[in-house]
Amino acid sequence: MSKRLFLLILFVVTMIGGFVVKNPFVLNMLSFAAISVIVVTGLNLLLGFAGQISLGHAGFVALGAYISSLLTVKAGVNPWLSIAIAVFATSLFGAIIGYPTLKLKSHYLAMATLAVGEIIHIAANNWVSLTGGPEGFSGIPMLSVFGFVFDSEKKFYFFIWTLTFLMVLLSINFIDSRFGRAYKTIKSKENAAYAFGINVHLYKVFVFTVSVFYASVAGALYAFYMGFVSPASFGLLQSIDYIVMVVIGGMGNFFGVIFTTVILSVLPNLLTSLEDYWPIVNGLLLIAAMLFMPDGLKRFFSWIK
Amino acid sequence: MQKRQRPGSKTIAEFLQFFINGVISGSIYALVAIGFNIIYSTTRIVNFAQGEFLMLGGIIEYLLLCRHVPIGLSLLVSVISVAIIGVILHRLFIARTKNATELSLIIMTIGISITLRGIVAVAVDKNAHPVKPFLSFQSVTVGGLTFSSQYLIVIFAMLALSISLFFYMKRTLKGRIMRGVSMNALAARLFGIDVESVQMASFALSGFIGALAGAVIAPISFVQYDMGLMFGLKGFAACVVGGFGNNSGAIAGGLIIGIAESLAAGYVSSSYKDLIAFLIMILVLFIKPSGLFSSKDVERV
Repeated sequence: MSKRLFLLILFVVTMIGGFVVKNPFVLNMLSFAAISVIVVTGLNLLLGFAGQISLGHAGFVALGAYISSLLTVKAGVNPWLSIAIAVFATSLFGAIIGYPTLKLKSHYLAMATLAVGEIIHIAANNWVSLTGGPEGFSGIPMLSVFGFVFDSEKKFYFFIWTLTFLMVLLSINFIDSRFGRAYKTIKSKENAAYAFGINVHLYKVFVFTVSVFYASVAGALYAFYMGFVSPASFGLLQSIDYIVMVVIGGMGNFFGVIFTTVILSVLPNLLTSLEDYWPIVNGLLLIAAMLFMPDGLKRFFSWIK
Repeated sequence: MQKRQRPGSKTIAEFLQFFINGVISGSIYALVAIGFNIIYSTTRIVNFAQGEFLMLGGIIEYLLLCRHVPIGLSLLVSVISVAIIGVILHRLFIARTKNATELSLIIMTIGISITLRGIVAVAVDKNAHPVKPFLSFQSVTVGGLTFSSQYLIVIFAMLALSISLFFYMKRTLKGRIMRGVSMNALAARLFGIDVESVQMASFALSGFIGALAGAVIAPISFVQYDMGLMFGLKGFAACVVGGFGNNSGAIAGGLIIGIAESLAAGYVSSSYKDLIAFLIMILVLFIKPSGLFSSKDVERV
């Protein structure tokens, strides 16, 4: 089955699900899962196709969320415009971080993004006059299109999942394009990529920027859906969650990653009493994947070409 | 009332105080950086669990002290147990990683780091615990400046460790073998050196050094399950500044970061002091990614 056909089927199923499910708690949970799917789809491009790792994606989500909502709440900018500005600024920031570090081996990007994530977390906690500090700030308005306000769980569910599927489609198209073939070459034989005249460094910076773009879009939508942002949602553990979702789903595998992301973002809501054990579970999942299943659940999705 | 001071002498005293605080935290960053280097040089792995070695050193020592074990013994037990943990991690996980690409090894050590941190958070708790200084007296006064007596211990540990490491690497057979493996693992293997066990030894040594750093800084910084994160990051920053794989560079890098950070905390704002290390690191990555003190090959890929 082709990727795009399967995506279409998945989309139809999700939309029907939105009509069938009445429970706002479930819809809400699934909407948050959609936001994670956006982040993780971007991260999957980076991990799966450039072989690079970011430990600070929650920080980029936070930048998207804070910049867009602060512009709207404190400066009165139109929400869509604020989202656009936030996404652009965050992506630019990502490119600036990526440029020097991606010339080097992959642990440099990993450490630099880990540091950036921590810095953003520290700033969100300490810059109280702007961000409201650890308590965060609220009063972020609902999004609306031509007077149609996404003011219920159901309306937002349809909006966010449609957008999520578009973003996934975009990433599939990206990988099937000239760019994607270049990344596959880089990943399998970097020297060969050089020989073919591929500017490996710029390609890596580009895919990293794209993954930051995905994270910031997700962050902005998160802020306008929640109506409230606080640093607690954007810590290192959240960044690790995203990595676990990609690794278990199978790096470079679109549908495996969507599947694990939905499962792993819904599960903690159902097992809240085990909250303290999540980091251990995540760590063990990463270790186990590297020992026994470096490709995660890829093999279960290999029938989708 | 204090004696009338010459104008400016207070500011000089203040500066010295900040400077020495910086040397202390810088020494710890240097130890963490050396720990990174030792594993990196023999295995080409950047061990993202290096900060956790430090945390474990502090936590084990704290737990033993709570049970009224004498300080010297707690220190010894903590460094040896973390060295053993290093060996176990290498044997069980690192050596067995399937298709050990750089990416999968990074993911592996991240997994180890998160797991260790999570286990301590659950098994001990998430609070910050004070640890009493090693020496019987609380503070020392030199030239009008007062310091915690633990500062002496940190300085002593840093000097003793770097000097003995220097001699170990240059003069002993084992040290030479380790250097040989770090220069060219394949050639070392051809000469009949068991590279695997050298790599295992480097995990033990790195665990030992990390735990020592954690144990000596514990009375100054408190111990907490997530203390390894910041120390690990700053140790890595020290590696970047000094040049990866270069131990004297690591010491210089650690001190630069520690001092810059302490001065920034003193004169600008303490809530943003953690930014300094990362700013320096990003700056060095832009200007001279091979590190300020390294003439070795740039690790571009």
